Amino acid sequence: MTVNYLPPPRPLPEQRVQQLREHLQRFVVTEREPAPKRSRWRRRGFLGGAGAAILLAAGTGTAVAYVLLHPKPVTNFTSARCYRTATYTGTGASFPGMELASAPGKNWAGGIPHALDACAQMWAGGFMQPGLPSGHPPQGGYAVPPLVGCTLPNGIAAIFPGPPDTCERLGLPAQTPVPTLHGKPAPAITLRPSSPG
Amino acid sequence: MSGADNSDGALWARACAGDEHAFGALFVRHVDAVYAFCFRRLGSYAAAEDAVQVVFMDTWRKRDSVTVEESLLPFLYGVASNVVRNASRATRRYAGLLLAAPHEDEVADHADEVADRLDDERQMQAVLAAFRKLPQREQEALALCDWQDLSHSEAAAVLGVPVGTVKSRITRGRKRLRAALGVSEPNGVEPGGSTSEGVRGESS
Repeated sequence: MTVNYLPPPRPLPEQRVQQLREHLQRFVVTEREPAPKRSRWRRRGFLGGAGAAILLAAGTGTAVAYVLLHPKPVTNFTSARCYRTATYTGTGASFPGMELASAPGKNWAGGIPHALDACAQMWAGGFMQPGLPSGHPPQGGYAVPPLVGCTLPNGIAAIFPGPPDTCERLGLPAQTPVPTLHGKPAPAITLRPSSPG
Repeated sequence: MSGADNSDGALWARACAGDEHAFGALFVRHVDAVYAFCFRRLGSYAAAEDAVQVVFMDTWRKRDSVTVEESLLPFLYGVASNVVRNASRATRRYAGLLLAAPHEDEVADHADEVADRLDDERQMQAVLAAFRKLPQREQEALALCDWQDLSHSEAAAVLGVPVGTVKSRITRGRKRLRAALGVSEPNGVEPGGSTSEGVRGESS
C-alpha cells in the first residue's frame, strides 16, 4: 500500500473470480451475436389479419363482435425489459428480469428496435435462468419459452414469457407493430370478444 | 504482435475476434486492480463487486472504440472512474445482468475474514467522507496516482488531460485530503513535492 490511511487491499476470493469470469464470458457470447436483421415491420400483415377478423365477425351476424385491444407502439428504444415471469407491478426499477440498455458499441448502439429478439438471446444465453447457472451452457443453448411483446406506459418494450393473451392478462397493451422473433411474426396480437348485446 | 503471446493487446485482439476465453483471461489478470479501485471509491465490497462486473461489461460494449497496445488496465480505470461516479445508475443499467453475490449458506464461514472486511469498510468510509469533499477532478487524480499507483502520465492518459494538470490536481488534492484526515505528510516529502508518496516516477 502506498498510503497509510487506506485499508490493505483484499482480492476477490478465487472461487468468486472464476464464477464472475464464466459469467462475463457468457455475457460476451450473448452480446457478440448480432440481432437478426429485418427489413421492415410487418404492419401490413398485422392490419390485414385484424381487418379479416372483424369482417368475419360481422359477416356471420353473430352476437360476438371482435374488437381489437388497443395496441401501443414502442416509443422509447433506449432500453427494453426482459421479464423472467409474466408478472407486472409497474415501471419501477425492481422487476423479475433484466433491463437491456442501449449503449455505445456494436449492438444496440442506436437503441433496441427488436426487443423480442434481444430477450430471446438473453433466454438462449442462460441469463434468464433462476440463479444464473454457472458453467457451460447446454448444447444449442438454453430453452427459449414463447415470448410476447407488450408496451409499458413509459413507451418501453416489455417482453414476457407466456401465451398470446399475456399482455391483456397483465393489463398492458400489446406492441404494435407486431414484434417478431427471428424475422417471423410473434403471436402478440390479441383479439377478444366484446360483451354481447 | 504475435498471435500466440498473452499480452493484453493479443488477448484483446482475440477477444474482439470472438474468443470469449481471451476476454476471461483479461478479466482474471486485472480484476484485483479494478476491484481495489472500485472498493476504494465506493467503500463497500459488495458495491465494488457489482461495479467490477459493470466495468468489464461496459468495456466489452465499447470494444469497437478501444485500441490496446500495452495494457488494458488504463482503459479499465477510465471506465471504472465513470462507473463509480454514479454507481447506482451504472448498476441499474445492467439490472438483471449482474451475477448476484452468493447466498450466505454458499459461503464458508470465516468469521475473522468477515470482521476484517467490515473493519475495512468502516475505515474506507471514514476516508471517503473527507475524500468526497474534494473537487471531482482532484478525487480522480488522487485515486489513480496515490491509490492505484499509476504514474502521472498514465493518469493523464486515463483522464484525458495534460500531465501537468494531473500533477497540480494531485498536489492540491493531497494537501486538502491530509488536512481533512488529520494525517501527517510522509517523511521528507512536502505536499507538492515532485516525487511524493504513492506516485511512481515519470517515464515521459
